[in-house]
Amino acid sequence: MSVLKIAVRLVAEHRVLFAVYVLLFSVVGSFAAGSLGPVSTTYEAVRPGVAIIDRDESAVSRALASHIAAVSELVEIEDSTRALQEAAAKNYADYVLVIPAGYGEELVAAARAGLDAPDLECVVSYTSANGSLMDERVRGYAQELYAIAAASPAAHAEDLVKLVDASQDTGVAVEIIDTETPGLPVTYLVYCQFALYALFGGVAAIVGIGLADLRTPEVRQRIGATPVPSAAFDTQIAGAIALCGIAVWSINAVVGIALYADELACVPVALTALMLVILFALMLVGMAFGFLIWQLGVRRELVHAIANISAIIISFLAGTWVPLANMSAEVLAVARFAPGLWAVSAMEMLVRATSVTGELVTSVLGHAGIVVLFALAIAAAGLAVGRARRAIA
Amino acid sequence: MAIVSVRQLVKRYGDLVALDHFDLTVERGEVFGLLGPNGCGKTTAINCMLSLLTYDKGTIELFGEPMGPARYDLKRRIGIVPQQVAVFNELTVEENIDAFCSLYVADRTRRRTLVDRAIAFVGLGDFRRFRPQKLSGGLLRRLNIACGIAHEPELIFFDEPTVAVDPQSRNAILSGILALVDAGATVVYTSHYMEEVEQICGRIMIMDRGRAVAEGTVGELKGMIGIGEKIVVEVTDLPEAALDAVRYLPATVSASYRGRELHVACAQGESHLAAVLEVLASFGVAPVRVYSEPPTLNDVFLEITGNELRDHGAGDERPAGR
Repeated sequence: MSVLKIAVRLVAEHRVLFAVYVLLFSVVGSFAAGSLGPVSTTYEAVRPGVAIIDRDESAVSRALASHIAAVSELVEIEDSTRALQEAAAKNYADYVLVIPAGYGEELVAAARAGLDAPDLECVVSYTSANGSLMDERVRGYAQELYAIAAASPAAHAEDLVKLVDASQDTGVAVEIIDTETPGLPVTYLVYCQFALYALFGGVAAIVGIGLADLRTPEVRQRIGATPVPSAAFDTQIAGAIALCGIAVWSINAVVGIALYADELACVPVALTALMLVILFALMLVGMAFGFLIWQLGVRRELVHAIANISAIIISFLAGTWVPLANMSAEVLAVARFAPGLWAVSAMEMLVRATSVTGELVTSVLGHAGIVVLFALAIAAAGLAVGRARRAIA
Repeated sequence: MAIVSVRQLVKRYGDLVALDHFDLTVERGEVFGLLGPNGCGKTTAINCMLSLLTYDKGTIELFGEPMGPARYDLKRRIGIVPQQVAVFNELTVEENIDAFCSLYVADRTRRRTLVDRAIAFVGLGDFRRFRPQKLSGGLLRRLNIACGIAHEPELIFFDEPTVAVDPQSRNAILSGILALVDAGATVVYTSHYMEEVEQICGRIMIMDRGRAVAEGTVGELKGMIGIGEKIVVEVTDLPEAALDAVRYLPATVSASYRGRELHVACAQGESHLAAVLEVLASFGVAPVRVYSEPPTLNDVFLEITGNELRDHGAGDERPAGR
C-alpha cells in the first residue's frame, strides 16, 4: 500500500463528509433552483393586492378607484382605524389607498386656483415593490387629473375623468422572443452557484479532515523514517487531494446533469461542458484551500469552521445569496478578489448565451483561467506554509 | 560488527548546541540504553540517525554504511517506535499495522503474514478490528510498537515506548523487546524509567547537554560513582552524637536521619554494614530493622547528571517530520 492508498483509505472513512457537503448541498441547490418555478413561455403582468377606502364617493374618486381596480386584485377592508392598522401590520394588501372625503372637489379646485393638490392617504407593503409601483400609478393619475383640470377651467369633473382615462396607458406590450439557441437554464445556474459551496468548502473540509492523520508530527516522523522518498510522499499527497476534488466535482456534476437532464437536453452540449469546466476550476480552488488548511495542521474541529465560513464568504461574494446586481460597488470591488465572482460571471454568460461562439468560449475560459490563478495562488501559499513548518521542525 | 556508529556528531539549533561531538557505537544484537534528562539530546540523536534531521558535523554509519536521507535501502532495515503514539485514528488495529508495513513491504501476501505475526507479538489478537480510540493506553502503546516492528527490521529505535503505561503492559512491552533481540534485532532504547533500562539494556549511555557523559554496562556504571553501598537502619531514637559518629566513619560518603531511618551512603569497596552497627551499639542504639543494597541506576544517573531540576524546552523531544 502506498501513501496514496493510505490517504484514499483515510478519506474513504469520512464518507459522511461527502454525503453532507456534496449531496446535501446539491439538494439544497436544487431546492433553491426549484423555488424559481418553471420558465414560462408567456408573459402575464403581476396584479398586486390593493384595498381602496373611498370616503369621497365623487366622480374623481370613483374614476381613480376604477383605474386601480383594472390593474390589481381588490381586497375588501373595513373602513375603521383598527382594520386599516391591521391591514398595514399584517400585510393584507400590497397597497392600501384611502381617498379622503371631498378629495375630488378639492383636487379640481386646487388645480384651478394654482394651489397644492390635496393628499391621498396610503399604506405601502414592506414585502414587495408592487405596492410602491401602485403608489406611483395612483399619483400619476392624480397629477394628470390636476393638470387637465387646470387646463380646462369650465369642464365638469365627469368630463375631466373621461379625458384622463383616455390618456392613461393601462399596460405595456410584452413579447416573448424565441432565440435560435437558448442558453443554459437559470435553474441549472442556481444549482451551479450552490455547487460553489460544495466545491470550495466541501473539498477543503474533506481534504483537511480526511488527511489530518497524515499531517501529525508523530506520523510524519514515522513515515519520514520509512523508505518512502520525500518527493514521492508529497506527490502522493497531492494525488490524494486531487482525487478528493475530482470525486466531489464528479458527484456534483452527475447530480446536476441528472436533475436538469430535460432542460439541458435543449441546449448545446458545449454550454454544459463549459459550465463543468468552470465548476472544475472552482474545485481546484477548493483543493488548493484544503491543501493550505492541511499544511497549516489545523485541528479537525477547526477545519469545519474554517471551510464553512470561507465557503459562505466566497459564495456570498459570488452572488449566491444576494444577486450581484444588488450589491454595492464596494462589495463588488472586494468580490473581484475572490474566485466566486469570476466563476459566477462566466456561468451567467452561459445562461445569457444565444449561441456557442468563439467569443463566448474565450470569455468563459478566460474567467475559468482567473479562477485557476486563485487556485495556484492558494496552493503556493500552502507550499510556503509547508516549507516554513518544515524549517521550524 | 557495529550496527550503529556515530562519530563526533554536532547538531545546533541557533546558539543551542543539542549534540556536542556525540559518539555512539551499538553492536549487533544488543539492547543499548540511552539515558538522559529532558532536553539532553536523546531524541535529536535518534532523529539524526534516522536522517529526519540534518546535522552540522560528524558522521553516522548504520550497518557499516553511511546513512543519509536518500539511503532507502538502509531505512528499509530500520524500525522506529516513536515517543508519541503515531497511528491513524480512522483505521483499525490491523489496518494500521498493514498501512505502516506497506511502506516497507510491497508484497501483499508476505505483508499479511507479517501483520499477523506483529499482532500476535504484541498480543492484540482480540483487538484486530478495534480503532485506536477504543484502545486503552497500554494497548495503544502496543499498537504503536507493532506498527514499528511489523516489517521485521534489523535495527529498532524505541523512544520512550512505555510512557504512561500500566505495569502489566510495560512488562509485556519489555518482554517483547527482549524477544525481538532474541530473534536477531538490535535495539536502541531511550527511557526515563531507570529500572526498565537496568532490566533490559546490556549497555547504557548517559547523555547530558548533548554529550555522552558515561557509558558501560549497569555494573560498570555503578562502579563509576562514589557510592558502593546504601545502608538503611530503622531505629526508635538516634542521639545526635551517634549520627556524628557514623558520619566520621572512613567509608561514609553521607549519613542522614529522617523518619526513624538512618540512611548511610558508603564508598565503593567491602560492605560497611558491620562498622555502622558497631557504632550504633556503642551508643546503645538498638536497630529495629536493617538492610543494605547496592546503588541503583537512579543513583548513578543523579550523581552523574546532578540533582538540579531542568527542562530544556520541548524542542529537543519533539518528533521531526518531513
